[in-house]
Amino acid sequence: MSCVASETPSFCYSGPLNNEDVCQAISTFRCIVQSCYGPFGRLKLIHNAMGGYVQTTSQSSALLRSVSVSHPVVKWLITSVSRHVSQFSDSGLFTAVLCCNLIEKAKRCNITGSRIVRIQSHLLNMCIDYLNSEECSCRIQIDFSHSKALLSLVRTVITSKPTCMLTVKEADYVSSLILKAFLHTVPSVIGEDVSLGQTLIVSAEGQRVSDSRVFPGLLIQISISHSRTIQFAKRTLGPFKVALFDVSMSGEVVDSGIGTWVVESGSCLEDWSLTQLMRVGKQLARDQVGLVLCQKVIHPILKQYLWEQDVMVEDRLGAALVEPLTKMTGAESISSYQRSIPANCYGKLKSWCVVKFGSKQFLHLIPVDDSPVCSLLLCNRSEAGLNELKVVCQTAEHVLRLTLKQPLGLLGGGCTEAHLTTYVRHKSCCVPDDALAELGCSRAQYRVVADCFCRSLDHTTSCLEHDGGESLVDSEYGHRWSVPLQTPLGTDWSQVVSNCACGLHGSHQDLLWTLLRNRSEVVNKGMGSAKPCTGVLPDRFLLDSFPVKLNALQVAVETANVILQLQYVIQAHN
Amino acid sequence: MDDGKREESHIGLEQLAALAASGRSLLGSIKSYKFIVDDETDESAVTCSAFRLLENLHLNGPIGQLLNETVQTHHKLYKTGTSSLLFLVGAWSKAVLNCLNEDIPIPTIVSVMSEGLDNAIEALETCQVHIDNLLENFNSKQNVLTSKPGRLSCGSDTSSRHLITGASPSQSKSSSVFSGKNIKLHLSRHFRMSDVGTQEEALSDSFDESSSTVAADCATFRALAMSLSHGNQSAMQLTIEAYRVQIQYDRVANSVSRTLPQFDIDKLVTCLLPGLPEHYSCVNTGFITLLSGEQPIVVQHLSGLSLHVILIDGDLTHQYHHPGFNRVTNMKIVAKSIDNTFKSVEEEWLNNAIEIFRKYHVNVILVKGIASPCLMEKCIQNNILVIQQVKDNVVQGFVEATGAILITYITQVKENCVGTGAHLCFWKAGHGNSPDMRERVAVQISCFKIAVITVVLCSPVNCKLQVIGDQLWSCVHRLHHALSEQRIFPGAGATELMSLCHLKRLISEKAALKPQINATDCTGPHCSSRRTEADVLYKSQILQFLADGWREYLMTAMYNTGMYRTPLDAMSEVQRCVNEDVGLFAIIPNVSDESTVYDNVTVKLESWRRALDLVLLVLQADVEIITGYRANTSRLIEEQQKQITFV
Repeated sequence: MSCVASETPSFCYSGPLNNEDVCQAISTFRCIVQSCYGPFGRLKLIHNAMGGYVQTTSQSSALLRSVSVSHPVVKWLITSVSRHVSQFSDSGLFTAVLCCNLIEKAKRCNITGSRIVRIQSHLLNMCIDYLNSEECSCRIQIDFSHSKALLSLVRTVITSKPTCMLTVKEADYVSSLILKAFLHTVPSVIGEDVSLGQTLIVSAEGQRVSDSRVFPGLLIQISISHSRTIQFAKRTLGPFKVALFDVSMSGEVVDSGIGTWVVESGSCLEDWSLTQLMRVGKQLARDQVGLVLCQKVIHPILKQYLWEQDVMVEDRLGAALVEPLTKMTGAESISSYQRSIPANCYGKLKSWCVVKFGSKQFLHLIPVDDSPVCSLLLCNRSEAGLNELKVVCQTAEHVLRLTLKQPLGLLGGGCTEAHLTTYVRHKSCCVPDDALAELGCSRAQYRVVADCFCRSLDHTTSCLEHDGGESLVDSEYGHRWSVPLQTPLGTDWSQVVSNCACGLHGSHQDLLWTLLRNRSEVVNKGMGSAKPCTGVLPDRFLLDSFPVKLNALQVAVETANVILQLQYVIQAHN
Repeated sequence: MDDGKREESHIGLEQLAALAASGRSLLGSIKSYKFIVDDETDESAVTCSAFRLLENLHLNGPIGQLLNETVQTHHKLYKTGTSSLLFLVGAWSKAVLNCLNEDIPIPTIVSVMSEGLDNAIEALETCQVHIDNLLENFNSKQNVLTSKPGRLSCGSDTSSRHLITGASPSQSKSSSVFSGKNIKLHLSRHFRMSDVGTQEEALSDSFDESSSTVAADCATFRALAMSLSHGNQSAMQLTIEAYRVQIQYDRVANSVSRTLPQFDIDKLVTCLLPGLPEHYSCVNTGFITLLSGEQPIVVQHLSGLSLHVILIDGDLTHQYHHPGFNRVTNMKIVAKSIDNTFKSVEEEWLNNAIEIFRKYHVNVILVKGIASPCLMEKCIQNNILVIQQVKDNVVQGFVEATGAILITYITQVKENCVGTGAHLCFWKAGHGNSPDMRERVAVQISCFKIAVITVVLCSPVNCKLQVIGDQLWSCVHRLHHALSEQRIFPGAGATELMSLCHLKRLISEKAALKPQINATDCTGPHCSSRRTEADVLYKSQILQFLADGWREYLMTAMYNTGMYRTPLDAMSEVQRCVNEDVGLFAIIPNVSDESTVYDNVTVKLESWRRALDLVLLVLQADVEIITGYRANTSRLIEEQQKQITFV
């Protein structure tokens, strides 16, 4: 039965940012996201209205997924930020907060949208050029021969999520594990066809974080009764052959197609499949395969036969394990059991053993030589902490891969952002006239927009404070310094502060500080001649990834630009 | 930066404290049972443990869910200690709320509390007692001490129920109060030579030989186990028997050299028999289950015979297929002739199955899933016993004991799949008679090797069976943890009191809290700033509130024993002990027969850590985001949920 309804005309309205609801929505979204920003942010409890599982998190990916908005403009903002997160995994919250700040602050200055957009693009290019230049003092060259910078990079990612509830020692330990696992995946022989290996993360809830470990090879979870059975299996010494199937060997007729099968009574399609399977089983036994692995289910009769022939069988591995198994064993995944298996499809493994972790048991497959596949077994006491830790580890691994491509870092803890705004304020005072003519704006307008831009960035940086503390910026390096609640404003800051937020610079007599949120003009001695960061890095400092931060900045500004330029919104209803 | 107290309070923490308060009366060894009634369905449950309480309550809202999840996870791993966990969650929520009222910033609360707990746990490292030392102690000191420190003089002056003064903590720790009285064992038939049936001959010979060595462990081991029971004496007695049966077999079969091997709890199952008196509860080797209908007749035929067993994974029906198998649905079967009488698929399968059973002389079939009723009928006609819905660990036990192979389809049955060495009989209660349970009969299947050990639990009150079962598992796991870790803590509040004294020392020692100049700590929230006097003040306040949690714990546990008239009396006793810095002292009075009480190490420390982790997690959460859609009934248009904030 079809339904006939009259066509509702599309809805069109202009100047979306003039709409109170849209502005309110953007403001609410910003408040939610900024309360999660940084290692001392608050957590959100996400759950379905029907009840059920509660997710405790401050991850941008989870937040962006769960916050439901109806207005297309805000939806588009969220999509844009989500795209950045899916490509780079990190700095999602920074992008979202900065974008919202730029939109809100730009709306308040009385300049036409297109002019603001042109000036902001110019400012963005200025920032990118500075960050890419050799003179930027926030850029750190990451040296792969020392672990200090790499560990700081990983540690900054790990400690950015408070749900994990890690102590300092535990955070250090997990960082070292992640780095170890990553270095494991870098192949030791560089040949023609080389690629990074894989780290699979396996979780075990209820154990302490310090029980986490890295295993070379793969871990497959098995049940307790199965582990008791295989303990009695006959083991061959030395490497053994492995066959890997990615097709369902459960004996069902795959893809029976559309239409009806007409079958004579007495014959059974499934029996025919089983005959084929048994033929394959006989070949596997003849070829002296030690372990048969299958992505899907293996028929119990075939399993029984293989067990009797001393062939170990593991099925129901899932699609995620097929690729790492291929990389680890050198086996080619077999997609059909209708024909005989060619000999070059088999792979090799060194040995296996059973590993017990709390209430879970795993089958550990040990590769023959230095294979670039390893498993990271993560433990945490609570489920919420474990889930967050898993995501955080994946983010850290992603960041390390990006660092391989571009071994640069930017100082973390808000220092780069504070430094950047100092630079922009300084440079915006001396923009050449022909540049202004190209942008089609006056010097005063340029200064206003630059001020908005800098205040947006400063506001984003000061969002790292959640407990009433204050962010200060110093006069020489332009870094961020954090002071706690209840420090009266008139105190001599040099008595109170000891290091900047990233840990690089200590306080000394000649430094002067101002409040980050209040500064409009800053007297800066060192900005005239920006110098690169040299000297010995401290043991612990905060480091963000360069490509991630750069892209985050770009996405935030470009998204804000698009939204500021929007003239009309046309919404179809059916 | 105002000096006034914070007006709004953390709703999440308040909810947590309120939920946890429901378990106050469950703390300690004297528990008050709780009835939970559903208003809508009139269903009810009775419970005296925290995890069952939370399981039965309909907790909507994220805080309730998180609490339930934490408690259930702890229960799944350790099966004991959930009531302490629930209580501490509530106590520490209140402590954190007090911190918030003092305007202490949240990251400081989180870091100082975690540090304080770690500190207290570290200080308890030295208090762990090794089991071997304890057994020696129990063995050597045979004297009965008349004045037992830690016990109250009951029936005396009601107004001042004070512990005997002058008892030093060291004295109480080392004094073994094992009285050496004649222990009345709750005997299973293995210990009475006259009742040994033919099938237990193999076992009974070994009993004779090694009974002397067992007896040596017996008394001391019993004292140790009872000290872990926390009031569940009958449950612990059953546990001790189950363990003894297991190690007897291990000694015979594997000649295990260690004096106290680990307790293999995978081989333990319970059988709940309602309607029988409680003293019928006992431990038996073998698998005991209830049968009804015509199956007892089959049992009569089979008792005394040496059985052939097959084990089925999944269901025993003609339609069952192993998971992952999808039948072809678009199939049409065509018959070319009508010569052969049309038999349904099911009939063919039945006949096939019976033929296979006859061929291999199968007597007993254990099925993990269900069996088709037609097959059950045919099996009864052929004197084959089919038992459905057998648990995984029982089936695994039979795999190992009889040599059978677990199969999925009847067609898989071959000679090597059939297990041997099993016997069955009607289960007899302690006095040698089969109890009258109306339509149902209990049957026992045992093997030459031990497949499983069944603990039969009986109670005339149906609803109490679950409670008894929970108590048994609690005792089993406590003994298991103690044996696997080889270490235990002195109990009855000793560890909590020790932590209180340690914290008090920490707070008073100014040196520990002195701000370290030039300490660069990039991980602190205000890593730029040096530590100030304010930090020192905060730290002492926070540690004080942390200690309040343990204080409340001790006070409630002491008050629950009924030995104190008001909670305030209990609190003043706690305060007195802390002031005198008694250290490790069993402050909670003992109202049961055991002289000393012990606790498991990991269970206790993990429950503390989990409680604090949950409280700190909820502290840092500020917004609840609700996803999903709710249909608006008047307009039939889906509306999206709004967000609710709290804090």
